[in-house]
Amino acid sequence: MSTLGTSRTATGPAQDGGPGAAPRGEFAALAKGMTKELVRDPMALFFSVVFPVLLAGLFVAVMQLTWAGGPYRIAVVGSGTQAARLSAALGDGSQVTAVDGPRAAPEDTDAVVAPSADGEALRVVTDPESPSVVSALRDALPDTGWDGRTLEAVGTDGSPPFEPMPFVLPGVLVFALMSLALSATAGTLVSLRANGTLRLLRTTPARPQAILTSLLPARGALGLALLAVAGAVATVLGLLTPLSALSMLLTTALGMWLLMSVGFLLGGTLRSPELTNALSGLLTPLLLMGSGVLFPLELMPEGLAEGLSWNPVALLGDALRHDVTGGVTRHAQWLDWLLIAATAALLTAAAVRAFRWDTEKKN
Amino acid sequence: MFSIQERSESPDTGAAEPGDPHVLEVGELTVRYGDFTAVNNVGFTVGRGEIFGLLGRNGAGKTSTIAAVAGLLQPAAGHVRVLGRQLEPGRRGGAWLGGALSLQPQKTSLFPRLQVEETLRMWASLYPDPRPVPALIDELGLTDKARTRAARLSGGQQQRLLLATALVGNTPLVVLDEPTTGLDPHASRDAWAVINRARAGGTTFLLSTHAMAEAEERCDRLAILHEGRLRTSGTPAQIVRSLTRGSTVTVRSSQEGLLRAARAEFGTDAVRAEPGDGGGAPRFTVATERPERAVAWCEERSPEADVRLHRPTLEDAFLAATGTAPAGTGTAPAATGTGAAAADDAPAAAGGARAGGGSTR
Repeated sequence: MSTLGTSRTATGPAQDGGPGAAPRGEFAALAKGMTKELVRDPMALFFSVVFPVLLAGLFVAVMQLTWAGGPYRIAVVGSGTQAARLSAALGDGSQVTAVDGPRAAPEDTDAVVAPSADGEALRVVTDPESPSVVSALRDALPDTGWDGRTLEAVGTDGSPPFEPMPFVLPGVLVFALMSLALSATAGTLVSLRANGTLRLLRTTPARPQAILTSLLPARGALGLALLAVAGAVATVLGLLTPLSALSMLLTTALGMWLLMSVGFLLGGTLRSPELTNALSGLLTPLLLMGSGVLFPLELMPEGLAEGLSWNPVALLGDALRHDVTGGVTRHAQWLDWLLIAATAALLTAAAVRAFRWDTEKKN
Repeated sequence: MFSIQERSESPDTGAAEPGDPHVLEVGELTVRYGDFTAVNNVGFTVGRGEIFGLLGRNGAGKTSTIAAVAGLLQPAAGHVRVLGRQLEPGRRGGAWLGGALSLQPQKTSLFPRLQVEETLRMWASLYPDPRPVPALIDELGLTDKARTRAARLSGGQQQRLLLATALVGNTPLVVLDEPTTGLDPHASRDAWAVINRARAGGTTFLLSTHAMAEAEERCDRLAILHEGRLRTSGTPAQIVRSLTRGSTVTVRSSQEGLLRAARAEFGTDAVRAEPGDGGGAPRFTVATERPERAVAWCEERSPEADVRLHRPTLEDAFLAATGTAPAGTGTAPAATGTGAAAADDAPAAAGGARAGGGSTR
């Protein structure tokens, strides 16, 4: 029997909860569709997942090849036994000397290692000329009897020492989230509008906010998956404690809110997919390089670095780095969080106000 | 721009009156884009179960009218009522109309990476009382493409998928913007079969089309828009009758005295000598309400004559209404009115029978 010949039960338009109202499952159905669209989009996945990981791998490989290695001259505030265990753990011929206090360390020492007063952390003061010693110490930590302790590294000039993985991990995570927001969200929205799909969805009973927020679950899940991978790597490398993992989750959530609001603002206002791709291609490297996320601000002139360190993406990178380096960053993490949330709220409000459902001129 | 309050506002005006026969009422509708008036004071109603066609040249205002009906744009003036509920200024979109209306727009792509069945299941879940998806896929001839992604469908298959998204909601009013454009004759026939079955179930259709034969055959009533204004409306037969001279018989014969005899038989006003076309025998046309009798008379008087019967079509009426009828098409000048009756009083235009469009000997 023809299904089209059957009469309907709905006889009038929606009476708010009446027969014409959109079913409750509208959001779930739209989110399911949007998820399939995303996971079947090879370009979006490449730029959100594969490319950042490849970039991270390339970065680490280059660092391994060019990074100055040991042997080092290290002073340990403690017993000769501890010094001997550290020397053995390093296994690169490093000269480890036991000293009574930091001031007793020889002048040409690359690093001074001192257990904190409560015994929970190891404080490492490094010569800025030998930053790679921190990574070497971190790698050797499990075999020294100091396993499980947090490594707090700082340069003799008070600046955070540069370490490849604590630098790369937040950078890659921010890059991936940015790709997710710009390429996979703004680009998708602009394409949906340019193709008339948003306009068509607008004629269905689905609520406008359900249509638009249905893009978020898939992107949120992918962002969390990226965070899980980054967190797992950081945990294996001894960069993350349970508490800092929770902190990293909050930072990532705030970062996703920030970047998604940028994605929705661009996706809600730009007309052409080509322009969106071009703008994303321009914005991504500019923001990543100009925010200390993939290029250390420490290598820029101090005035410029200080100015750039306040942009929202730099704040996100700073907050993530705080999570994986144990606290030595440019700004206090609470300030990073506050400013990221405030910027995200402003951008979200702007995206909602400026959003356009179709490309045709308004009357 | 969207408003997050859109759904929460209580739609408390324009409730459908019990027994209201109009599924759609468009009154004094005006749509402007800046200084340009795309739709100017257009009004019509569509009754339950009707197929109502909007005809017009490109840019005549059909798509803008449809967009206003679908709540996609805010009219500068006038009103649109769907099932008695009036679209209010500032309230756009289907959420306001609930499950009352669905749309098949022109030039729209669906989600390219979703399969046909996935797309329709998603669309169905947005409506309160959807049609069964597998059956709809089957009726639109897309069964073997049910697992194919939308981007991999041919143009005609994508058009059918779009039509399916308009029908899957099982809404009382379905708005179709050129539904069969790009379909081959078989697919077009299948699509119309689906539309007719839906109509039989009580669905009302508002559609725009450039396919005159299709509109004449399929639509219960029509409106012709020209430069944003409603030129005429009525049943296809009413429109054809009001805008054309009726059937004509064209006779080409070298027999002397045949023209004079025809004038004596059918009246001087009904018989018109046609200018020579550079070859062959002289021609004249006979405009008559009984064309078969005229054909028989001519063939009896002049067995060697080339006698052709031309019945006016909707296309003739459309060309007349939109001011582009070529010379000698046998059309009457269009009346600028809102009903076929207004045009019925228009004087017959000078001109002879239109070539083609009718049955031939």
